[in-house]
Order: sequence, then structure tokens, then C-alpha cells
Amino acid sequence: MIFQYDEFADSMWVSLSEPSSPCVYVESQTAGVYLRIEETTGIIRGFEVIAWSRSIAMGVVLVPEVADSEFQAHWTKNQSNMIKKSS
Amino acid sequence: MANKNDIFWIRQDVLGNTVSFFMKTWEIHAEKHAWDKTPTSTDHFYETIMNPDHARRSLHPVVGHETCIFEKFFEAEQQRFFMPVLYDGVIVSGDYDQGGKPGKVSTGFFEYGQMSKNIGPIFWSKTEPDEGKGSK
Repeated sequence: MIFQYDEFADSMWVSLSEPSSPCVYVESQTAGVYLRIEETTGIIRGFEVIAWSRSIAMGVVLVPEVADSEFQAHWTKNQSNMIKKSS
Repeated sequence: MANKNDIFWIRQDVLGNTVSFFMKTWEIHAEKHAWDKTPTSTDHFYETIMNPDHARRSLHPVVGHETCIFEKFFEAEQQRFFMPVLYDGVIVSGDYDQGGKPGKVSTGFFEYGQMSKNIGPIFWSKTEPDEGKGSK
């Protein structure tokens, strides 16, 4: 797991593992962060929290609960929308 | 990795603010987007800040009041590119539209739905060359 903080953009990028095929991004409804998901496998490869330091100051930093059923439903819905768009 | 304060460019946006694009921001961006279906380039960032189609409000719950999202349609990708810029010195929510503020490129992305909840209404649009500078 690799953490990269950009103090200019105030964003924290967390890389969970390296992808091996194209990825797409979806917003997690449970945490409001952006998830990098390998499209062919559905594996979450990382996520980004924007407004990182500001969120810490406000005490509202949330990280995604990837096993959450709400998230799974959200991802499935977005995936089908994206496939329609790109086809 | 770039040094802490290395800057790609500093340019004036269409609202009259001064926007900086830091190399560290690009390096992290490029690395994490290396596997994207539609990769972004530094040209996308440059063109979007220099010649946007629209400027939109941000609806982000934490930084929305100090973030403007520039938008430009790219023919080659047949997609809209969005580029949030985070401004310093915002006193009244959204007063970056008055110009004169320093800003930093936050990120840039093609559509595909990401951040869609944070993309707010258009408040500035490009006009034809003979119609002047732009409309608010």
C-alpha cells in the first residue's frame, strides 16, 4: 500500500495494488472518495481523498468500506452506465 | 519525483486569476492514471485552463466554495475534460469569479461519471470571438 499526498491539490492518493488492465473511476457513495477500479476484474486498485487536510481539520475524513452492500450496488450501477457510454 | 516547488506553468485563467500547475500534482496524477481507458496529458490541462468552454461551480462539501471547475470538449477523445482549480483567498463563497486570486490545479479528468456529484452549474461560457471576452 502506497500513500502519496499532494500538498498543492490537498489530495491523498492511496494505491492498494498495481492494475494490469484499464481502470475506471467511480465515486464511493459511502465515503465520497474516488475509487480506481480495474474494469475487467472489478478489483479496487486504489482510492483518492480530495481536500485531505481540510477534511482532517473538520474531522470528516472517511475511507471507503468496500464490502458495504450500498457500495456494491453503486458500483454495479455505474459500471453498466460506463459500459453503455464507451460502447 | 519533482522537487517540492517545481512548477510546470503559471497562467492567467479566463476569470483573471493566476493558476499554477505543480509538477508534483502532474506526477502523482500521471502515475495513478497510467491505466485509464482515456489517458490525460499535460496538453489537456493546458488547453482547458487557457481556452475552456465553460466554468462551473463546484459542489464539493469541503472545498466547493473555493473551487472552480473548468470544462472543455476535446474532439480527439470526443469527451469533455473537467479541471478543478483550488483558489486561495476566497472570502465569499465563489468569489474567485471576480479574479485576482492565486489558484492551484487540483486534478483533471474525462467524464465517465467520476466526481459527477460535485460538478455544479455553469456560470461562465466562452463566446464567439466577435462577442467579446466571455459571459458571466
